[in-house]
Parts: sequence; structure tokens; C-alpha cells
Amino acid sequence: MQLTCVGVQAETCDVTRFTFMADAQPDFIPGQFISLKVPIGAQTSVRAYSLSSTPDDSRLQLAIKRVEGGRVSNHLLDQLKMGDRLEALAPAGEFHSQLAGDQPWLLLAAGCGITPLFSMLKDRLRREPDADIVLMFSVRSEADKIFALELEHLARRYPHFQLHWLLSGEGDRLGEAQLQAVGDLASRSVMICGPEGYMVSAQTLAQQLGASKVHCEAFHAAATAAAVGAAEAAQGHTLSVDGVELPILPGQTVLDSLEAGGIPIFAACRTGVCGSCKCQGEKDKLQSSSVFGLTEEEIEQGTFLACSSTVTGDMTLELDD
Amino acid sequence: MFCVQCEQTIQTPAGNGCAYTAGMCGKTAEISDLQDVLVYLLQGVSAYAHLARQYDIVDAEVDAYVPQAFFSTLTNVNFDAKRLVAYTERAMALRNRMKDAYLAACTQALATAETPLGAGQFELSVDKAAMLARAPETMVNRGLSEVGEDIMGLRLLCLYGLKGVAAYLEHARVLGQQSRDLFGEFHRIMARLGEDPSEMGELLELSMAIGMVNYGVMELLDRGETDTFGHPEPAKVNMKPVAGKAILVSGHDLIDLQHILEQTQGKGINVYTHGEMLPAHAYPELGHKFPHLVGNYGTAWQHQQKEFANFPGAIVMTSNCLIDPEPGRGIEGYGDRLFTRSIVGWPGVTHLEGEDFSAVIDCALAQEGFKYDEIPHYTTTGFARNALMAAAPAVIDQVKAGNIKHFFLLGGCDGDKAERNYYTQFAAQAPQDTLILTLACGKFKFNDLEFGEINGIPRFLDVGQCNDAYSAIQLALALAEAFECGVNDLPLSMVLSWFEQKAIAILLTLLALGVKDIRVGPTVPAFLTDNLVAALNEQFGLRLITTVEQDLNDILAA
Repeated sequence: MQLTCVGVQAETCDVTRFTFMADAQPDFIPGQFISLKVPIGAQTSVRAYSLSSTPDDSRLQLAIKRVEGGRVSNHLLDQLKMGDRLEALAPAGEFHSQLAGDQPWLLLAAGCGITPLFSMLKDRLRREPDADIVLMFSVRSEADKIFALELEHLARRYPHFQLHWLLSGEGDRLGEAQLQAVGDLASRSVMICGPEGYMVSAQTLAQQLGASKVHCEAFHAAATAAAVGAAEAAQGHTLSVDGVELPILPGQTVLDSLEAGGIPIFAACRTGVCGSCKCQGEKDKLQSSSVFGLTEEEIEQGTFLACSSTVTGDMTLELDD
Repeated sequence: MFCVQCEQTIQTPAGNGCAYTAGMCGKTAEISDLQDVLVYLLQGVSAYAHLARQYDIVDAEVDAYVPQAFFSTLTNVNFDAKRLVAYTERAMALRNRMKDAYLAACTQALATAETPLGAGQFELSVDKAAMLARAPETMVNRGLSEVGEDIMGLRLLCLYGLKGVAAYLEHARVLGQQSRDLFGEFHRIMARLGEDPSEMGELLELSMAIGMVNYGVMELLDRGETDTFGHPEPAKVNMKPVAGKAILVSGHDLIDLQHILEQTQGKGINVYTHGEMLPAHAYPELGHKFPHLVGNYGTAWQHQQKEFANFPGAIVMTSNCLIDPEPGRGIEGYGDRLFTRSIVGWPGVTHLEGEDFSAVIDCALAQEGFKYDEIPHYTTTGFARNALMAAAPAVIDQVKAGNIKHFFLLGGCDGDKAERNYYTQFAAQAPQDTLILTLACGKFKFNDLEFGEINGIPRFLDVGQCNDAYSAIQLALALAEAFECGVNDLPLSMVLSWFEQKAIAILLTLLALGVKDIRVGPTVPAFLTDNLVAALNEQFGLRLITTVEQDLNDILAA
């Protein structure tokens, strides 16, 4: 999919909203992400960002946060301008409105984690104006409010949508009192997106208070790791394959990373048995739970099974033909 | 059926044109055949109207009727068989009346009456079955095997260009603007096309004559609009709905919009423009006068099925482009709250004659209306002739200071093909020291973008409807005069998108005025052969768009 950037707008001091036209408007489920292929110098990096637009919108929109030291996010925020074109992979991801279902929602967002939830929220309210939705949105300060105008507008317009801002800089954090005030937590689908620490504590808290259907934009799951543009912040590593650099997070398998980056790889059993996902990497950076079917010599030379291997450092690999 | 008049027509290695059970626009083979018979008969009416003018016999009803009925066969205008048959009946009556008048004048002058060839001799007992039986004789590609593809292509270029002229004649007429001379020239060309001319030189001359008559008609139309509604003054238009009952007005006829605005005053109904009606917001007697013209709803015509289905009010289609209001495919139909006007028609959809819009108002009041305001999003329109001329000195200063390097006229029709993304990309990639002028519904490909300004001059200037091409031409002439050069020497490039026959008419006007190096897309008209495209390129520098990067490089390097 080819994207043309048709709009660049600063949202806060470190978040920019980018608008794109796709060569063919893709279908997606609100909450899903797209992966941008970003050429920087001789290398192309792949990063996934959640869509903040809805499938009904004529343009695609992303809100991208500048990550300190992050090569790709800094490049995009500093360099990407109207008229520039980027290649992107089709929308994907498991954290979406269908997963959330049609019961009342409690949306818990922190910072740029609002993006998938914003798409889900707009889409559901458009389809179902009386939907019961509570959004608790944690940001550092007034100046860090993302999508503030639209969110306030939705809160005015839809009587059953409640918006609560939590300003962490003023000591206002998500806690038991806030969640208890929501009420009927057990009947709500709780969707959480934000930095990992936030998600872990929010999930624990929600479950302790009786929520049973709780989903996080899982940082350890395939692909979704980078979905909120947080891969760079999650202390992962990179895989380099055919000049393309992909993020890989702690615990994420090489196979998941390759698939998230749109690298074609055949993986039949996905459990370390069939040998179809055999690759060539760097032996001392690999941790494999299965080497089934590989010879000692192959293992010594760095051959491994992508479905059963994680990495301990940045690694270059070749796909086995 | 055989129809190749619009950009979405079927193109296969076996041949171009819609020739099966229905056209890509949704018109059935039956409608297409009825239209062919009607057009052929209208050529016969023009034949006698032309001959009668030798004796100074001018029938105002005939002058008005031929373009009006011809307009009904333009893409996405009239799909109603009953009305097409009725138009044909009327055409036959007028043809006979003109013929009688001409023969009587010849008798009185003791002159031998001429018998026009082809269409002028066409006899028909008008009913639907007879029309369909005679359709093969009147198909627009009749005689292809005798004349070959190149001549046929030129005939169709002329026929479709003249159809665009007919549409503009009708738009001007409803504003009280008519010209005996322009009607005369229209009949002359229409009559000649009914004789199936086969010489390339003559057909090229006819195409240029069509361009020039259209230039006159556009001037007439410009006068009609500005005399009636004032000179457009740039206006910010909200592109999002506001709470309340609603009427949506689409098409090009500003006078219908005026009636609706007058009749809805104080009734608690908000009126919205759609598509080509957007520039109405800039007219002093429309947008600036009636605060309940609250904004524009939706985008270009090809999205109407989804957008109209979601519009909670009455919808009025004053001219093209109309498509099937009961599309199925999970989209809710809206034919019961749609109204057609003038020559527009769809079977089963209420057609309104006269100036009473109470049925529309009742319908709007019975609908739910918009329950909430959306967050406003604005575009600016109304940089027509006067506004552009007022800005011209400042623009010229910026050009001389080197702050404005180039002008692009990026406009024309919108359509469904993915290739039309070219125009969005072009607008987005145009360098910051360039200005983008636009007109017609092609603007919806990029009028939501933020272009910024150059020292106070907006980089994006929406001139108006396709009808307002005259304004863009006047600006080009003014700039040429200011810089003491020809239009072709200006740092001005035209990158046009076409879909239907009005765009063909405007293109012929630009060519006839000597404008060179126009780029056209998204595809070559399917009726033009490779030879014709090569000839147009050689004579006028007319070329097809390539890629945005290539075209921008070529234009800015020149």
C-alpha cells in the first residue's frame, strides 16, 4: 500500500498528527495499526502505528510520538512533510473493537496509547450513539492532551460517553478510587493502551475490582508491540533482513517480528517441529526453545527456527531459501 | 447500446465503449438507445433551425429546447425512459414546425428548399417501441466501418464537446442569458454533425468552432451568475453538519438553490450545498445573504450513494451527476427523499417542475435532521473573476519578488478511479512557492488539505464550478497582460481531470484559444485513437498525465 502524506499537524509538543491518502483505501477494524516502511539512509525501518482515524474517514490518520533517541519517530516528526510518500503494510492487529465486543466499554489510555482507542470510540459512537463508554485518559499535563478538541466534543454530544482526564503531573493517577467510581466494572469490556508499566498496573487494578474482560495492547504479543509506536521505548532490539530493519521486543519470536514487518516467511507448524521457518542468524545472539531437525553443524553456523527463537541483541539474519 | 462518452466507459483490448446490457454509469441499454434516437432527432431540429435562419426565422422555443434536451443525454443526468420519449415527441413536433417554417419561407422567396442530409430526414412515429427499433440507425458510432476509427473519434469529440456546450447553454438560459448568435452557431454545428461529416480537416475545424462557441457561452453564463447573484466574494465554508432539519442541494443550478433558500427562510431548516454547488456560498445573493445556508455536506458526486444514504433530510438534484438512489449492497436507499429538477430524472424519483419547493420542505421536516453539530472543518471558495482580479496586483508583486514561482490550474471532474489520486498527490507535492487554482468537483480530491499562504496570498484558490472556467481564463489573460507575454509564456500549467462532456467542451475552448501544453487525466478519452492523441499532442502539446514526480519535474524545469 502506498501512502501520500497530505497533512502534518502538531498535536502537542512531542506528538504530531499525520494524515495520509492511501492509493487504495484499506479496510480495517478500529483499533488496528499499519506498519510504515521508513527509509532512513540506506536502510528501511518498519514501524507500526495505530490508526486514529475510522474506516469511514476518507483519509488515514496517525498520531506519532517523538521517542527520545528513537531513530524512526524522530525522523518522521522532523522530516515527513506534505506530499511525501511512504510504503505501508496492510492494517493488522488483534486489539480492536471486535475484541472489545458490544457491551459497555471502559477505555483506559495513557499518552499516545489513546490512538487505537480514539478510533474505536469514534467508530462505535457513530454507529451506536447511545453506547455506554467511559474513557479515562492519563496525560502529563494540560499541554499533553491529545485529541482534546474532538474528545471534548464527543463528550458533549453523546450523553452516554464519559470522558475523564487524569493529569499525572498534578498527581492525578489512575487508581482504585477512579475505577470504583465507574461502577458495573464486571459488565464492561476494559481496553487498555499505554506504556507497559501503566498497562500492567491498570490491568491488575481492573481485575482486582471485578473486571473480567480486560485486554491490553499487548507489548509482548506479535506485531502489536510496536502498534503504539512504543517499540523504540520498550528496550527491544532490531532485526536486519535484506536491508530492512525491524523492531523485536524482549520475548517476541523472530517469526512474529518478521511477520509484523511484512517480511514473507513460510511457517507451517509454528511450534518448532516442521523446520519450515529455518533462518540464518548469529548464534551468540539467539535463544531457542527448539532446534528440532537442525544438525549440530547448522546450529553452530547460526541456523535457527524463527518460530522458536528470541534474540538478546541486534541481529542480522538471512531467510533460508 | 453503444456509448463511449464518459471516462468510466468500458475499455477492453477488443474495443472501447459500453455496449452490453448497461453502461458503467448505470444507464440501461434501453435508455442509451432512446438517447441516441433523441440526439439524432435533435440534430434534425437543428438542421431546420439552421436553414430557417437564412430567412431570419428564429424560434426561441427551438433555440432553448434543443440544448436542453441534448443536456438530458449527458452522463449521469436522465435515466427515465418516459421522459426521454416525451422529449423525443416534443423534438419531433419542433422539427416539423421548423421545417414547415423554412419551407414556407422558401416558397415565399421563390427559392428552392434545401433538403438536409442524414438527421434532417429522419422520420419516426414517436413511441418507445418504435424508437428502440430505430436505434441502430442512430447509434453514435454509425458508419464506423466506412470512415474508420480516427474519423469516428473526431466525430465523437465534436458530438460530446457540443453536448457539453448544450449543458452550459441551458445553465445560462435558466439565468435569463441567451444569445441568438450563439444558438445559431450551436445549430450550425449540431446540424452538420447530423450529416456525418467525414473529412478530418472539417471535423478539426468543427471541434475548434465548438471550443469558441463554448467560450461565448461561458461568458454568457458568467454574466448570468454575476448579474443575478453578484460577484463571488471568498467565503469560508463549514464542511461538517450542524444540528437541525436539513435540505441538500446538488448539481449546478444556483437559481434552484436561491428558490430553496428563500422558501426555507424562518422554517428552521438548514440548507447544505453538495458537490458542484459548493461555490454558491461565495455569492452575495446566496451564501452571504442566507445564514441558513450553513455549509457543504459530502464530497464529489461518486460518493453520493453512501453520503446521501446518511443525510437525514431531503435532497434536490438540480443537474448532473445523479447515480442510482437505490444501490443495494447494504446501502440504504434514499429515492423517497430525493427530488430531481430540470432535465434530471430517475424512474420513481419525484420530479419537480416550477418554482414551488414545498414538497422538498415537507420532506425535510418529516426527516430526523442532524441531531448534533460536528466539529467544524472549513474550506474556502469564491476566488472567481473579480476576487482574482482584486488579488492580481499583489500576486504580480509576489511573482516579481520571486516568492511565487509557478501557478497550477488543477481542476476538472472527480471520479471513482484510483488513478485520480494523482491529483491529490500533485496538490500535496506542489512546491511551497507555487499557487494552486482549482475549479469543478475535482477539487474534492484535495480541498481538505492545508496549503498555507505566501505573504498573505492563499496558496489554494477555489475559482468555483466547472461553469466558472471563464474566470480562470480571464485571470490567465490578465496575468499575460501584466507580464506583457502570451498565456503560453506564463509560469502557468494546466493539469486537468475529465469525466464527462462538459470537461470536453472546456478543453476544446482552451485549445481553440491557443492554450498549449495542457495535461489531461486520468486516462485518454476512450473515443480518441492513438493517431488522434498524437495529432493533438503535435498541434497543441496536449498530453496525458504521467507520474506526479515526472510531471512536476517537467513543468518546473521548463
